[in-house]
Amino acid sequence: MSKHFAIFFSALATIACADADGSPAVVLGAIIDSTSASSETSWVSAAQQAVANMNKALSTAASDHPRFAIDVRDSQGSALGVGPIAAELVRDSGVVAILVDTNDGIDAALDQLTRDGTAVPLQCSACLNDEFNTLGAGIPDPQGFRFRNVDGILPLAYVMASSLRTDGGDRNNDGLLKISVYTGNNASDDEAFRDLTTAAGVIFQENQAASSLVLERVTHRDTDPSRIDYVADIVDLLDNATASLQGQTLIDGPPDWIVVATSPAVHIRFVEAYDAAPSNVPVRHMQNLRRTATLFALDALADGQQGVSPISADGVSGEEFAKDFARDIGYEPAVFAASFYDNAVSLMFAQLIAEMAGDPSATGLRDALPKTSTIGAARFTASIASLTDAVQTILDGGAIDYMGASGPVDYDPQRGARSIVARYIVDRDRFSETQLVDCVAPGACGR
Amino acid sequence: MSFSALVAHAQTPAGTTKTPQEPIDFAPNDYITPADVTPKNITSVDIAPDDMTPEDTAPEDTAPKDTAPEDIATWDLANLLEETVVTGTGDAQSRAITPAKITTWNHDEILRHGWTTLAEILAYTPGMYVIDDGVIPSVGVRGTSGGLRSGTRIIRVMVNGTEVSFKSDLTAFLGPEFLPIEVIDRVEIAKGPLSALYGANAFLATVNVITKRPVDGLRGDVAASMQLINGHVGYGGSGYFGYATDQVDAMFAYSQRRTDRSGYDLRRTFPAQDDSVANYRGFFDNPSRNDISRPQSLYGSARGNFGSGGVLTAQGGRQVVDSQGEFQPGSVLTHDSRIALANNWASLNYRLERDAYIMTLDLSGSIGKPTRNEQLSVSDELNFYYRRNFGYHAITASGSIEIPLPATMRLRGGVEYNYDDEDILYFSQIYRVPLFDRPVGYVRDRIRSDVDRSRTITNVAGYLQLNGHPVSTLPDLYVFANGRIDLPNLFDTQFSWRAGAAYGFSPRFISKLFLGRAFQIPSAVQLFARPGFGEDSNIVGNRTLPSLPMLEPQSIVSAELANSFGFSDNVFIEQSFYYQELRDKIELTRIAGNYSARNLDTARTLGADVELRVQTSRFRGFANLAGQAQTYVNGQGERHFAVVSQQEFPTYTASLGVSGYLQEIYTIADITTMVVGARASSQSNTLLNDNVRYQLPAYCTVNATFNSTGINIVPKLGETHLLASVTNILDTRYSQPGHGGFDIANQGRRFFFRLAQKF
Repeated sequence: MSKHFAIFFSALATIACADADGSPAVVLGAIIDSTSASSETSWVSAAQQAVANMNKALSTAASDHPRFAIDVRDSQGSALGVGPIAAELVRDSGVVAILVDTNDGIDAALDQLTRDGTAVPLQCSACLNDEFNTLGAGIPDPQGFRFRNVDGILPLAYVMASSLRTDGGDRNNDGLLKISVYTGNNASDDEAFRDLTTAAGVIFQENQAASSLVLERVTHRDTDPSRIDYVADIVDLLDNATASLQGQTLIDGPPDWIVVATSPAVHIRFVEAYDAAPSNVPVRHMQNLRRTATLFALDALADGQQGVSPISADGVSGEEFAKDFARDIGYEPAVFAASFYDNAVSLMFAQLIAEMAGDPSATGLRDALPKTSTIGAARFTASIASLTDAVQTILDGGAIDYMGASGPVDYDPQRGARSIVARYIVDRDRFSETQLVDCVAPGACGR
Repeated sequence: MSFSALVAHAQTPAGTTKTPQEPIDFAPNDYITPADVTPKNITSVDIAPDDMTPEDTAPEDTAPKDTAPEDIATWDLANLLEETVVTGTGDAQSRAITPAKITTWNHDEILRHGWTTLAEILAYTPGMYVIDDGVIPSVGVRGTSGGLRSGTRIIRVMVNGTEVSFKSDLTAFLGPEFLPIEVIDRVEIAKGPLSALYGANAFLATVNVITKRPVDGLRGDVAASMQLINGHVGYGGSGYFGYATDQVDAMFAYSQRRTDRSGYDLRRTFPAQDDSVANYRGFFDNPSRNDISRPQSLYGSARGNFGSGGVLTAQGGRQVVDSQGEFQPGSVLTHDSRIALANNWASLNYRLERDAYIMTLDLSGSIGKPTRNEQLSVSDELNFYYRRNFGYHAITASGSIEIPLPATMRLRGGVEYNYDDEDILYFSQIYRVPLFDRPVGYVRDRIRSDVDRSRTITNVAGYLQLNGHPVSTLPDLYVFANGRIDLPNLFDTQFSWRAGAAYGFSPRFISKLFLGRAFQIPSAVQLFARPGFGEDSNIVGNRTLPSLPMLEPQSIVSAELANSFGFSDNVFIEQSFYYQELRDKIELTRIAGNYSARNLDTARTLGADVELRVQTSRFRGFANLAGQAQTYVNGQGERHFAVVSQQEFPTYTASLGVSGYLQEIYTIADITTMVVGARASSQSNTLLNDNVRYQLPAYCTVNATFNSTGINIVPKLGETHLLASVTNILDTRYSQPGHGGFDIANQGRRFFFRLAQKF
């Protein structure tokens, strides 16, 4: 049945997105969580808006290039189905590249397509793992099809640790800066804790703090957010003891801070449970609390929650994107929405560049992607007018440097990009950014 | 009777017949007997305008009368053309020329077909579709659904002309709690925009329930009922007492039921439903449990006729919805979600008639809120349950005056003021388990302290209505025009209008053409609701989310051509073609797993419906057919035209009912069947299905009902009446369009028995 729907949808997409003169469209694929409790509606909308804007730019530039279309599929918040969906998109919809939203998702898609021998460029917009395209990456990518335009977790951890120091450090003045970190039991959370430890250590040394530093990790044992014993976990987080890696328990006093670094749904339920705890130890959140779903689920409880995340939109390009998005879609873009917009734009630029180079194959598109941010080339932003100029430049054989709405999309050797980190706070039903930290520059944010 | 006579009746001033505010006389013996099916002789109310006197205002003029028994075969179907309705203009008028397409179901038909709720009555009305989620049914009209938890938001539901709804949601309760079914004389359903007459919420249709009125001393009825669903026994009881003299009458009625609907499963209806994914966990192979409904309904009325001093009518009621909510988005098959709402309403109407004018004054009020029994559970949440905090206090005051104009034209003008004090929806979270120092039962309100918990919604309106026969040489031409201006405090000024004409080509063939515009304001829940009921499936007020575009009223413009044919005394057909444009359609759209109302694009609908009534010497029957085609906008914002796929609404519906009068065995047997065409998925389920619309297949149901007639077990008291019905005899299983990842399972075969004794 799903195959029939896929064929039907592919046919619809092809017909609906054909040029006015009947020529078929170039189709991008997208596998994005659109429906789970952690989903962000604006992610899909941003990718769709990018395609719509690029088509307007092509029209304005009077280009006869086939228009772009996007075939969006729902991951339902689970990486399990991403591989088969990716295969379907390539096989049935003929997509030239796929946008994905998570570490697990891009790995599942890459694994499936590599095994099928149908690999296409994969662009991730919310993958924050440090081991992206490194030797430590779980799924190897020898052909280099895995891209992202966001940074790893380390800069976030660095800004988090830095914020804890500036906000009071050893709050209880017991000579020990103790940070209790609440995580899940998975590779991503392992990485977050490791980065927090590293970052806190760096900052601790940089500032020659008089007190000692301890990071305690409390792991929720159940993966199902509804079955976690939050009371027991909070008691563990708040107690005077710290379990060492060697299994010993040290009595070292209460924590000064609690940092939550786990899945979005657990963040939300933790806040609910912690609200009942007789504790004044402040809580800070990593990026996963910064979801629209948080505002819906917590309402008043969300007020005042703080944390760190990638910036929602950067500079002039970000402002242009956010303004257009609010006008066309009807609400504010959420964090990572600009990344989805940029990834879609980059892929479409790359397609044009690859075609101009005479190699619109998957490898040609892959090789063209870094050329969307050619250093020293003419700079273009996210607005339709600027996209039009960029299209014209490409069609004229020129080079472009796309200044993305989420920040520069300058691919590093791991085919990722560095970004600006924001400190956020929930204030009256919306996330506000209270501080921006430039982690793009070499050596910044603990690297 | 000639068409001229018909028209003469139709343009008779309101006061000479009856108004929606005036209940109809209560027939002494209101069960189905040959006497009951004898039609009223409508020519008896054919009063020339100049004959209007206070004496003529006696409601007996048009009220159903208990007449001497006559043979069932004498029922003259041609009288259906002349049947008096009040909803089209607010005054009594022949249904053939009233400026709206009106379907009527009278008390006899309701009993014969075994219908026990307003929802069942509406389900058999052509052009309407009812989705029953087991708590508050939602009604769609002519290809348009109100969407998630819409209830009756897109229609206006009235009792004798007084709007009765839970105003926070702009929805009426359509189950047994609406009114004790025994007091309903007839139900008039007018499709099309009627804002020009009734205001903001007479949007796609207007339903007017006309109650009976007691006559002739003290009378009453007590009844007990039993239901059998999935092997679970339910029971109920009802009673009414009526008393009347020449000057005053009063009535009191009460009904209560307890129905156990446990045992229904959700079915997989679209490919994305994978119960290993959190969105669908617990949806399947998990039959409903504790699925009990406990509706209560109380109704009372009193009327005093003070002769030249006018007529004062009071009525009021209490409606209690108290149902397990097993099929609610965000709270699916939790087995302990109980939705309980109480709605109390009352109205006072004064009517004074003089030769030169007719004046009416109305005052109505209502209050509603959840009862203490409400307890809502979130799927997969074990530590807390929730209660909704919301409700309203509303008052409406209005007055009108009607004057005769030259020729036979009449002009009515009026003003109306509405005041609605709304407590906005927010949730309280109650602890099921202790959390640290907070004990079981600890309550935490999920709303910021600086949020205004109360909002006031007001509206001032004025209207004019002109109708009559403008050309003396064309007595068979009837024209009408309405205009109304509304000044809501939250939105821009709104204009409604309606105009059209009816022409009788012959006594048995009447055509009418009417056009109009109506509007509807969003409900308080759609505007101001706060989230906090778990992580998803909250309805979040449009004005709660500052980044959303401001929600505006939706509006509709329509044109309709309707024809009435009386082929013979035994065959009657009404047919209409319509086109409507729904602009700025208000719909709850999914945002991050939750829902918020937005104005969507324009939806255009082209459709037709046909009603057929047939009578033979022993049988009577009806056949209804409705269908439409519509444009829609898909998830990518692209517009499509659909003949076979309309969101949450069937492409077509067809229904058929036949009753046989089996005098020899004191029984009237009835069989009804309904075929419902394919319905396309809701916006939220389409999104959950990778933005691919899917269709729920067509289905057919068959019901049988048996009514006793003419049995007097206790002769000194009155008739003893037994009703036995089987709903969905074939146990057809189907799904109705739902939201939040599932489509609502229907109930299977049901048995209903009711034993009543009159006195």
